[in-house]
Amino acid sequence: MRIKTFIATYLLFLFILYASVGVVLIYLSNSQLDMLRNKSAAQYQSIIQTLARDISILHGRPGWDVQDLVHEYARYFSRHNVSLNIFEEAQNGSANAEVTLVLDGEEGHRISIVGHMPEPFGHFLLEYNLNIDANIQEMLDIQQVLLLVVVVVSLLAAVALYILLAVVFRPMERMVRAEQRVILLQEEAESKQQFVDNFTHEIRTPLTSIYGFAEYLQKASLPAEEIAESAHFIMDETRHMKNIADTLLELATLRNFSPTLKEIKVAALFNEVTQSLSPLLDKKGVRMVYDTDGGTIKAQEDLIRSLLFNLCNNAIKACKPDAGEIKMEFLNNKIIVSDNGCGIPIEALPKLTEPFFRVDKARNRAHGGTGLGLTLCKQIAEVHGAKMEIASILNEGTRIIIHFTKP
Amino acid sequence: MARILIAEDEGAINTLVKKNLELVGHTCFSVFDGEAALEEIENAHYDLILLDIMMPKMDGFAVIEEVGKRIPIIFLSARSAVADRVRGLKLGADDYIVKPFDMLELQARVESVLRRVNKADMAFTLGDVKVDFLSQQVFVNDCAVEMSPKEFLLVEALIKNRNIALSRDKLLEMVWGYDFYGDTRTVDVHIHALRKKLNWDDIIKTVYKLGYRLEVK
Repeated sequence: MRIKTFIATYLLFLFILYASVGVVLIYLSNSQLDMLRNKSAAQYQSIIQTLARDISILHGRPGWDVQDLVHEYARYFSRHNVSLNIFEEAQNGSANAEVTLVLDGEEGHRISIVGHMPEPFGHFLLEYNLNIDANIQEMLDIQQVLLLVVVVVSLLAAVALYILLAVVFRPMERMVRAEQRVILLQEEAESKQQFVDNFTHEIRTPLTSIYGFAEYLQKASLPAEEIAESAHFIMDETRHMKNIADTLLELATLRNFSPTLKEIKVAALFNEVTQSLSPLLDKKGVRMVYDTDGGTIKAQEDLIRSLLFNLCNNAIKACKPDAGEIKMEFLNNKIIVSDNGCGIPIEALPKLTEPFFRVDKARNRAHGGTGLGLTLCKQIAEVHGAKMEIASILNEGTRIIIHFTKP
Repeated sequence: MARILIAEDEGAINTLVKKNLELVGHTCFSVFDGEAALEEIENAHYDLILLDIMMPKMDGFAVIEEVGKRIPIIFLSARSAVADRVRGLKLGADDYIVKPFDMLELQARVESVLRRVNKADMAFTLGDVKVDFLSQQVFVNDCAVEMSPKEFLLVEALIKNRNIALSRDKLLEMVWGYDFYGDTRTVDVHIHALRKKLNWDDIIKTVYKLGYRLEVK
């Protein structure tokens, strides 16, 4: 904002400055040239009249030569930077003189006047040349000085404008910073509210079923199979709530937790996870492969196992039945779990690790899960000093990278 | 009885609501997302819709905007914020039930909305007993039976919540009101009288440690 104002104001200033200096320069040189032109025209007239008088006196005398006379004139006028030439023509011409300005000619800058002498010497053609090199040089000098002044002024103006804008914009910048802070706080408050809302929903939904079916069992007279079904619902939902409670407890313990680090062979861990997930994988028809560079990491084994389980479970849920493929990799201290499942919309990515965040607005629990899995994974990564990164393309797949720092 | 559409994506809660409403004789149909709900509304006649707000494909707010005032709607939601309730009611919902809800509360609210749109039953017949809610009269073999106002209210409460056990306290609250300081034995006395007058010894069951239930198969 400040830079933009600076540039705009400064450009406007420069434009006005250079335009006015340009106009002044053009006016100055024009008037100088006009003055020279008038002066030389007057001089030409006076020369031609004196010359005509001299010719009329000398005319007819023996040994008379018009060239000699003009040479005399020329010698006299040469100290005024004027050169004169006379030509004799067969026919008389009009006495009207022609004034031309020759710039950068063979003999430098000059004002040239060519005209016939007045009658009866109309067959003489007088050429008058005033050298104006000195005047042009003077004009160029003035131009240079002015240009120098203008450059200095524009530099000074730039500094002055910068300082002025800094002063003017200081309170505004403070306000902008304050506003940014307010927005940040608002976002924080919103995400807290969101958490409370989500948590309430996550707890209320199973509670509704548990209470409802218990009441149903108590108040209705039911056949045995319906009693079993209702009890099943109650137990299912209770198990779900227990999962939430366990995960929350785990999250709470992980805060300020320092893991007992041991050297773990990642290949063995991958193998173990693949083995224990294989019934689930077979059921859904999802293929899982792994690849390591044979390296090890320093970590607490049960935590990393739980992290991998969570990530792979999510990957299995994301995959299409009978077409899914999951890959676990360990390369350069990085554990990568990637799948070719449904992917995650880009706007949901930054919120994925928030507790109880669900991509699905309806918060559907059809896939089960507590909504805490990725929060837990992030926490586990953090206590190991590792960073979890999620990249995803909708309908193409998701890739989760855990960067472990070198021991 | 009424035809009720239940649109709720949580399978357990959907089943629960369905089972509850079927106990008192309503016919229920379950759908699990907003689009299916709209489709069902277009294709069949319903007297009432129980609508969850957070549903896949189309949320409850969007559904009610499509349906408008054609069919009475009760929202069923875990969102208890006043703003949500106000929004739901402003969109034209007839009521708003917050999860978790009480079975009797659900029945009462459904009944109340049905009564408002004149879809509630005006009479109830069981064997040779006929109860007319409009004129507040009870007939046995077409002969009017003498009844006190409290006795009639008790019969009505039992019928409206049939197949559901009602505790003595609940019955006291429903028939005599919150501010009644009587003994729960008042209920027993009235139930005894009802059983005698209507010959309902086997119909009004005593539920051990709870209360009474009018059983209709």
